[in-house]
Amino acid sequence: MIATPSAASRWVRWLLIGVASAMLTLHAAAWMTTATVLWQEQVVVHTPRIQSAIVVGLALLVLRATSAPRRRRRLVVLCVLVMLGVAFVTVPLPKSFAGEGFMPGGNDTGSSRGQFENRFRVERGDVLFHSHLGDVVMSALDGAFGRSETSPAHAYDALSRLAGLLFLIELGVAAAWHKWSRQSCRYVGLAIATPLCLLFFGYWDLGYLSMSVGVVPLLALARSRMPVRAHAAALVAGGLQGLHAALHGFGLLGLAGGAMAALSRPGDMLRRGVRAATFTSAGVALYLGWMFFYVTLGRLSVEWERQLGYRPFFESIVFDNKIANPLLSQAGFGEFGLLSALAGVPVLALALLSSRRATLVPTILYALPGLIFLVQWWPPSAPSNLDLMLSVFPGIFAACWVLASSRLTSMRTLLLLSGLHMLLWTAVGNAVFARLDVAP
Amino acid sequence: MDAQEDRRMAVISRFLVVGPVLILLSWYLAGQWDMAGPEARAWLQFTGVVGLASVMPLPGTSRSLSELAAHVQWWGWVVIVGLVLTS
Repeated sequence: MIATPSAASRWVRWLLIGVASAMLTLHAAAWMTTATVLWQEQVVVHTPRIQSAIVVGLALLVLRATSAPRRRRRLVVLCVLVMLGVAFVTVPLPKSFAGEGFMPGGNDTGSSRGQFENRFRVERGDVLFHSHLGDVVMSALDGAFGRSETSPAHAYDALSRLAGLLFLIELGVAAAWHKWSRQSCRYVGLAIATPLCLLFFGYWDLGYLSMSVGVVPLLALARSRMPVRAHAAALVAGGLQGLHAALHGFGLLGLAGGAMAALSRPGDMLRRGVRAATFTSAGVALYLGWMFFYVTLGRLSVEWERQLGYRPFFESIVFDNKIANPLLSQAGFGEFGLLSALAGVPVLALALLSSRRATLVPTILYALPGLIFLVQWWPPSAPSNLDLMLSVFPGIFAACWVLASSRLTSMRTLLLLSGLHMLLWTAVGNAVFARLDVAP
Repeated sequence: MDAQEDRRMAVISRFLVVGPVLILLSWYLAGQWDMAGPEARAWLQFTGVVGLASVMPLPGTSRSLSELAAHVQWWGWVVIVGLVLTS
């Protein structure tokens, strides 16, 4: 017997689609404004560099291989993941591009011992809450490299590669759990083509540790009719997202999105509630459970000192000694459009335009927290702090999962992602929407 | 008449495949490589890697020679147009 949705759930679905459409219209208007500003400022278009070529090329190999029989495509996907792992180590990102530094936080703390110890205070007995596990891992890596003048740089390099390894393992496990289905293999291809993947080539900062690529395919399994398999998948997905949120607090966007997506159909209300509770409890446990060990074993105290920048609506304000343009101005709206495009919102738009109605609701629910947060978020170091700019929208992975359902939409998405790579290098190379400093 | 047309088409196709490669080769031999800015080099890197990924034989997939030639030809022209735009 097939359950038909009640009138209430139909209303909720249409309400969600309406809210998402309104948000996407706002984002699309902002992309137009960004294009206008880029045209007016006559920016130099920069070709994506070798790291982008590698991820797009390898993604193309995976997408081509998905038409092969299961064993052959598994072989290709595994080889591509290994090749990408090797590339993470052997083809590092430059520390600046077209005369512009694009790792502002990492460059400061990575090149000065004093600044490093001011940022990572674990040795002094403190840990900052917003990236508590990331701080502990960085301090451990610094210790492993000898706590010298050069050890912070080595620690950043090692952390980026370790995060890359985790990214590849998550992709491999997710594809294996889906028994190397065509959709899961295409998802691997699309995920490695996202601009986020560039940060595993040695980007010096922590923000990108918040993104978990394995959560969306596992949540798809959590919608299975087999209860044990579904609960195991929800538990692992929640745990993964919690771990990433502990590494950096932006993972809370994924945690919120995952919990909301777990609430969507299929299943009756009880089953959906249990699925969402399983995901959330595992997530919160791995997000906050570390505190027990910090306090009891490490004798550390936890500090909160991070302030998020919020974009004003009407009047400019000064935040962190920088001018924040209001959303309702060409500069502010255009900057919002650039952040939205780089974070991957166009991929969500493509997914909603080309996906089946049944997949719309979970995708929207997963993406909604990031979609709303982007409107108000104002990053003080934009357009240089790519670690946060590329991690603010975990919905890109939900969109990739939906688009991976067919070969044609996957290829369209790869084309769109290549365009985002070009936009990324162009934005960094021209320092568009760079911040204006004011005297304190 | 048909056979003659076929031959012409084959010559044109071969030229389309070989032409871009010859232009690149002559560009390199003329010493222009060092004159190229970072964008032209980056474009060659990008199209080189992605073009290679699009024509590389993979286990479990097959492609006829004519399809392969069409692919190489398409990538050749992409390289040329990109070089003109970026140089």
